[in-house]
Amino acid sequence: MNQIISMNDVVKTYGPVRALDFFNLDVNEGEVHGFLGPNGAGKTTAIRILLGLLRHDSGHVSVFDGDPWRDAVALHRRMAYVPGDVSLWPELTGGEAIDVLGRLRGGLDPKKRERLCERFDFDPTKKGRTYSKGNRQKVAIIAAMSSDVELLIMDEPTSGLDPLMEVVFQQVIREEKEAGKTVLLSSHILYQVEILCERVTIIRQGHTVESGTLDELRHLTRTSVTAETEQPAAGLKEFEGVHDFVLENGRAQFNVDTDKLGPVIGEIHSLGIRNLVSQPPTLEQLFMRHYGEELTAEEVAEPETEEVAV
Amino acid sequence: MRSFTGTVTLVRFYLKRDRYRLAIWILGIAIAVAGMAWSYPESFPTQPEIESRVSMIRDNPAGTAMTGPGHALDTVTPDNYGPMIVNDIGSFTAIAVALMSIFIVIRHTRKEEETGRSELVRSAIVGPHASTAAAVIVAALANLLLAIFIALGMVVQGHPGIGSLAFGLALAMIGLVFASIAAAAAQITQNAGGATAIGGITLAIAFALRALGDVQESALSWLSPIGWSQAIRPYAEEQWWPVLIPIATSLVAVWTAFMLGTRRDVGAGMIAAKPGPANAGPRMGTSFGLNLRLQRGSLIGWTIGVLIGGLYIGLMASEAESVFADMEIYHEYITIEGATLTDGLLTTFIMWITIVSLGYAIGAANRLRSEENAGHAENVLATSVSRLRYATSILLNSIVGSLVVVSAGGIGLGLVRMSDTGNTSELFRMLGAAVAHLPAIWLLVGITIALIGFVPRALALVWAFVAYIVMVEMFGPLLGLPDWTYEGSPFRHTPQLPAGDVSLLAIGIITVIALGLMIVGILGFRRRDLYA
Repeated sequence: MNQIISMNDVVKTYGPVRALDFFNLDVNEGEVHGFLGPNGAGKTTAIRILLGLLRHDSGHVSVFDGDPWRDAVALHRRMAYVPGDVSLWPELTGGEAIDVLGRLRGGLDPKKRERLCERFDFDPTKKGRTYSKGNRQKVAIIAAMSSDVELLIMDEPTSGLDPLMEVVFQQVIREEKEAGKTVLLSSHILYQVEILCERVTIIRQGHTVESGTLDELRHLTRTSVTAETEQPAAGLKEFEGVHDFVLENGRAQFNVDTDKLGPVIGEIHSLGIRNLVSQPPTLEQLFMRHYGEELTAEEVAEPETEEVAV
Repeated sequence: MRSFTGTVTLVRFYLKRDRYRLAIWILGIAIAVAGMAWSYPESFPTQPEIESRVSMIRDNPAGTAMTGPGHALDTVTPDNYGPMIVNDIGSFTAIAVALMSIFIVIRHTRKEEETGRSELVRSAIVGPHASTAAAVIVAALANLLLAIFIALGMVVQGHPGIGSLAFGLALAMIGLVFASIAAAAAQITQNAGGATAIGGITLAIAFALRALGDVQESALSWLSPIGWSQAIRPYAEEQWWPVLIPIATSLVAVWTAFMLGTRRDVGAGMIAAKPGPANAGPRMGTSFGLNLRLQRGSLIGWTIGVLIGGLYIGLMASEAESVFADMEIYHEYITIEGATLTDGLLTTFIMWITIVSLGYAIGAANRLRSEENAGHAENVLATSVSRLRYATSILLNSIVGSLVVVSAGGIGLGLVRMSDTGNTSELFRMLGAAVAHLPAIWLLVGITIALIGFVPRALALVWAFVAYIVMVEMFGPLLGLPDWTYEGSPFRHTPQLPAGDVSLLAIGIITVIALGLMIVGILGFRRRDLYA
């Protein structure tokens, strides 16, 4: 499979601040790649480097085998960008802005533009200054999707859209994927990434902390299990990979490392299942594992100091 | 009174938000007034000098149009400069005070609605008229403080107390009127730019009415808020009753604002926004076309404004010839030796037109920065438009636009000269004289672009340079500045036409420096990160 985007050990500093710190990102042709991280983690910086708006300090970056800084113009004919906070010209209408952006990119498909305006329920005759955040975002989304490009780079594209429009957005992205387009989708709306993306890169403090398919990432986390069994389930506590075990009124609740799930479920089966609920880890839990560390460390630290005080 | 609930809180809040902004406006104007007043004893130390200066302003329609009615100028002596100072600098200070007041009010009313912040405020326990009332109160307080500072500045320099108080009060009255007009204007349009424009146009009309009224010695001045303030006659047997006119006008304007305010929704204007085209016009397919479209309104406005300016000073110049033919003193105002009185006068006026046109040229070049800050540059540069093309298209708008604006001024002036002299060549002579200053404008455009390319944070340096140019070229003779202070102004090195000669070398050198700065600036813009 062709690599469309490749960033290796990329460093970008703003004065003393290291926005990207040996950051890695690989996006393959035809995939919808989720790019996750909290605010200020460096998502937008990475995207702006891919667009040639910023120059990286060191490391290797290529888009379509070209240098996004040097070959910006040629590369931009093959890609479209939806910024996180779309800023429109106050004196132009939304329709004018869509056309301008499309034409400057090398032309857009008027039929597709019209269809998208309908699907997104977008009125193109209003002046830019009167649009809400969601409507400004629609302008960038419609302009990007009506262009004939191979790569879509989207920086939190739905942060202003209402839930109905978000469903439309998901449909449109799926269609683009079926048409063979590659999408890099940055987000902190986790369920959206879960629905749309097959591969995910997680960034934190400028550094790639996790990258792989959703399945690969899931196996790193724990599944939460609630089970009622005919025979007492206390023995489950001793199984490898079982954590946070609680037994109450014959109901066992625990988390289990996802790759150790098989033997545990086997044991529950042999105890006689009355009721079994097993939840796969959500990306929230993945996220909490990466970003919860400081939180946990603080929580642990506080009681300790109290003990010392006593 | 429930409509005004929260006004006091908002006044405090606005004062806190604006404390530095207001301090700069108030101190800036007060210090400028005090400084200009300070220069008079030095510039006109003897009675004959005072008298020639007085006759230059009072007996010349152009002088009268730019200043005021000239009350009690006969009484000016080396011990009493008051009437002269008030007349000379009053009308220009009035413009600054009016602008300050318009900006304060629009900023806290329509601008807040446009950004949506007022919804947050209005959802609290705040009456519907509170923000308008608070904005006018803050503007009134600012004007009151300004009046006190101006009066103090004059008293300290030994001018009579009552007259100084009248001078400060007269200026504050102008501020009050325009603050109230701005409050009404803010109810009408949906965007802050439009409301500010209504205030600005009202100010321009007020200045024009006053100028015309003072030249004709007619009652037209009584239709102008600036005329009302001059009728208070500081240092010239003050009369206080004219104060009632601006106060009454302000009350009516603020009442109108309240009435209009109750008839509309928050965020809406009296003039509803019309839907625009759903598709972009064919010319908007390139970076240049896009920039031209975005600059269109500004370019048209400046072209018309400078054209009217050219017509206006053309009329002044033709009057001046008949009035001043045998006035020896006037020749000193003219820098080119051997020139006729009219040509000398035209040379100065043409330079002024081109200096005013700097506003367009630098504003257009500054879009390279303002579009970047607003996040619009990012939209365009993420398409297949290169930085070189993007920057060049903005620069071209500035260069070609400045040619259009300056030409409009030359044509306006030339048309009047043509009808005065019956000579068609006069039109081209004026046009050529105006266009000859373009290299100086482009030099400032070059500096703007170079700063944007390398140190965008230092962009204010350009405006500092403009301020210096305006200072020496427009107020230099008035302040009696020494000759060397003029040398830094590029408009001294471009041809002084129609009175002087054309130096191709000077044009060439300035143009080359300007081009060099532009190229360097664009290269810098290509190399650096795009800020967001």
